Amino acid sequence: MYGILLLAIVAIIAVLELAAIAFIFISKSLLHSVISLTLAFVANSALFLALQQPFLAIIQLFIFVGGISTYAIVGVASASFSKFPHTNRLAFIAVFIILLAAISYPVFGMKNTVMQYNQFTALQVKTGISSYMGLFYLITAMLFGIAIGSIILVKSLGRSK
Amino acid sequence: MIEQAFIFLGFAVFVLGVAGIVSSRNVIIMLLSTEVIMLSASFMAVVFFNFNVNGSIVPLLFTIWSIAAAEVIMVIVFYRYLAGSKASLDIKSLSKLRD
Repeated sequence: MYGILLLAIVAIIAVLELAAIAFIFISKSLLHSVISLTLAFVANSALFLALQQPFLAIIQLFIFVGGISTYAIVGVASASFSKFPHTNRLAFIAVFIILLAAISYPVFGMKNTVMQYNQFTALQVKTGISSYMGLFYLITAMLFGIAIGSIILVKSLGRSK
Repeated sequence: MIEQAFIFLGFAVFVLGVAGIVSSRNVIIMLLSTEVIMLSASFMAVVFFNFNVNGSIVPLLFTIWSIAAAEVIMVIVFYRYLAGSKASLDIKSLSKLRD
């Protein structure tokens, strides 16, 4: 399906996309961030081409050109009051590494081509998603904790007034 | 293996967006991170469609793209509000906008 040359081109485009997205948060200028986001969208569109979806690639380009141009205008217009170190780079790298390790571990551990019998639909379905459920439960518990914490915070603020 | 590499790339893009939201203070940068997350969502949809799913992925993709386009309009409204109130784009100074 994929030749060696195509694989190399896809790998280069993927690295280019990841680098462009990382540069959004590294750059101090908002305009540079917008330009690198544009590069990321173009690289993603090229990956759509590699996935043999040229129609979706073209539509992605068309739709995001409008959005990106708007962002660029906002970036140029806000050049006077957006000059501050907006991203904590150490926190960015730490969150990226921890989350990527947590979220991508099941990908290489799962057997996503194994067929299993689903007793509700009586069909043979592909499995592998079940190992993700722990992550969803973790996110749900975090959101629940945030909701309870915000209620406690609001109550304590009301008491102090 | 190539399928897992594409899924890993989608995860990496998604995690970059999440890390950007968590560690950024600029409002516009946080919205750019949301765009990155939606980019990863559309990419993953195409990957799973290409390798696993039979059917049409176009309605789901158009939903994602509509949300992304609506978010740009939200940026314009938000930016006009901030520029009118002479506030900073720093999210830590947004508490000054209460009055």
